[in-house]
Amino acid sequence: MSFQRLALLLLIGFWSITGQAASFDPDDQDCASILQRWAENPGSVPQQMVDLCKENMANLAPAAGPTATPTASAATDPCSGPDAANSVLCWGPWSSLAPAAGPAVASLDFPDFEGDCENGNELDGRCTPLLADSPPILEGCTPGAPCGFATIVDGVTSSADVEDTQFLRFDLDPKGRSFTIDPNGTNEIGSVPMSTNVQTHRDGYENMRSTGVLGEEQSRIVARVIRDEEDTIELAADVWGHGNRVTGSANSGYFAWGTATSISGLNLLNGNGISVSFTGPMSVDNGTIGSVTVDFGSRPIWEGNWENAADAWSFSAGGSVDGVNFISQPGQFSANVQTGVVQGALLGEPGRMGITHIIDVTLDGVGHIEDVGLLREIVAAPGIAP
Amino acid sequence: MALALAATTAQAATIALLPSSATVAQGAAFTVDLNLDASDAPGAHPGLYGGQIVLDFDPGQLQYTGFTLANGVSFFSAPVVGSSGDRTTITLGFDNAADTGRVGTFSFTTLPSAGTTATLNIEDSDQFFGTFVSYTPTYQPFYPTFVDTSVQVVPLPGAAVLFLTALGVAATRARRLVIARIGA
Repeated sequence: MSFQRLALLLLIGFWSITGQAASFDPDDQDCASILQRWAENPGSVPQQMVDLCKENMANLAPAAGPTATPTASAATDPCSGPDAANSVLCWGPWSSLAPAAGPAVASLDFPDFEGDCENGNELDGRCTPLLADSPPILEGCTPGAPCGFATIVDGVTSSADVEDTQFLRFDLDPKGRSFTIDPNGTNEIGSVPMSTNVQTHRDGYENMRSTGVLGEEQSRIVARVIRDEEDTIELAADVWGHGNRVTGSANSGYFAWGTATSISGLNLLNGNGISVSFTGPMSVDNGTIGSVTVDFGSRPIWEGNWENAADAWSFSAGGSVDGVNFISQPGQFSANVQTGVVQGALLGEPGRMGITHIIDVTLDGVGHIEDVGLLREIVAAPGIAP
Repeated sequence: MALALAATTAQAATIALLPSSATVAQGAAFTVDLNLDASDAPGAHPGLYGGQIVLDFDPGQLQYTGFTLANGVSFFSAPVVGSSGDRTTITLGFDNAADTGRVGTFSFTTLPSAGTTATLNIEDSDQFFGTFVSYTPTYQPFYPTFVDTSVQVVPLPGAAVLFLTALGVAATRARRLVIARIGA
């Protein structure tokens, strides 16, 4: 133990015995040592002394010691804001203490909190980054309103390198006669009016081809669709395209669309705590099968798995459900996910539901994957009457 | 316009016309199969495929008499006869074709005025986006290579004409001889 440290202990002990906080006026170096000790063992230093030193250190001139790079501190230090001195989570001008402890401290680098924020941890705010939802890629959907996601690439083929593929919202006329990419957005693309051709298909789907030409512009949809008795499309997925026949410029991609589940449908599901499972192939790489289960209730949650047997990869994700929208939480990805976001929305009404969703993940040993998919509700086969 | 599609035809899938015979006599009927090879198309295999084609020919050489679907294949657009310039066109869209094999069969008759070679050309009905789609397990576009064909139309051979004429004369004489003997 150094002489300086021994002196500090004696000073603290004396101050504790006499309790003369008002008359105690430690200099900067003392305060640096006191705060360092407090940081190592909060119970070893009286709180009043800590407060006094924090106040003193907060008034230090910038030239009093080396400081961390402002930009780095601002980017990572939650105590770099104007109210930092008043925050119970902040230690004051910590960077000025660096000389006493060694190299300059760039920021207050709190360790990630691994616990459950909602079960008694007093630092609730601190776990927010770990358990927060991923930032959404696209605007969420509204209950009972049309809702779709799509990929967009240059050209007519609907496919391109993953780094040249983007996601946008997608809207489809319920009769299939028009569509809009990025409705009301900066990249909005509106189709020309189209005529439709619907044929019976398999797996409960119908096969819809919609095409239209207006002047130099041409649009098309080739889609799996599920329609109601009034021929209104409930769910649709797959190929869209729009371009100029003269210039040859075009955009295309894949989509998954439907009408978001209504409020009454959500209330029914949440009120009864129902679990609903969905599955289906993705559209960009239909060798990838997505499976998602949503556990409805007072705090609905979801979990999902995506597997591509041909390319030998899979990953899982999960998170909370907010109305019809769900998004991944970073802490719930499988370990092989380096970065990623899964975003989706519930479509249709109970018993005829689906999911439109996008995945944007980077997997260990696999790389970057972007896809869009329509998953359908798995409805149990009716039981056989005894 | 066609450039957008032509630049994407790297896949090996083909849609081809295959005549029943390379040589057809004037006035004779013949057929042309429409064959698809989608073994390299995207999606699951075996799969199901659809597309819309336009076939064209010289109406001065051939007469179109019909199209018959192969088993399991269906129309999403039944054959429509039209024209493009001085060529007759037949446009049809089909669904549920298998990975490889016959989609259907065109039927033609050669006309007496037919020349020596009758060409039959085929192309995608949508030269901008293309119409061919793999349906399993989801819909994905693909861009087959289109393979045209032709048939040699030949007049009836002179020897065959003489032989048939002689045969007819002989038959007539024999008939008269029989009638004469019965009358006697």
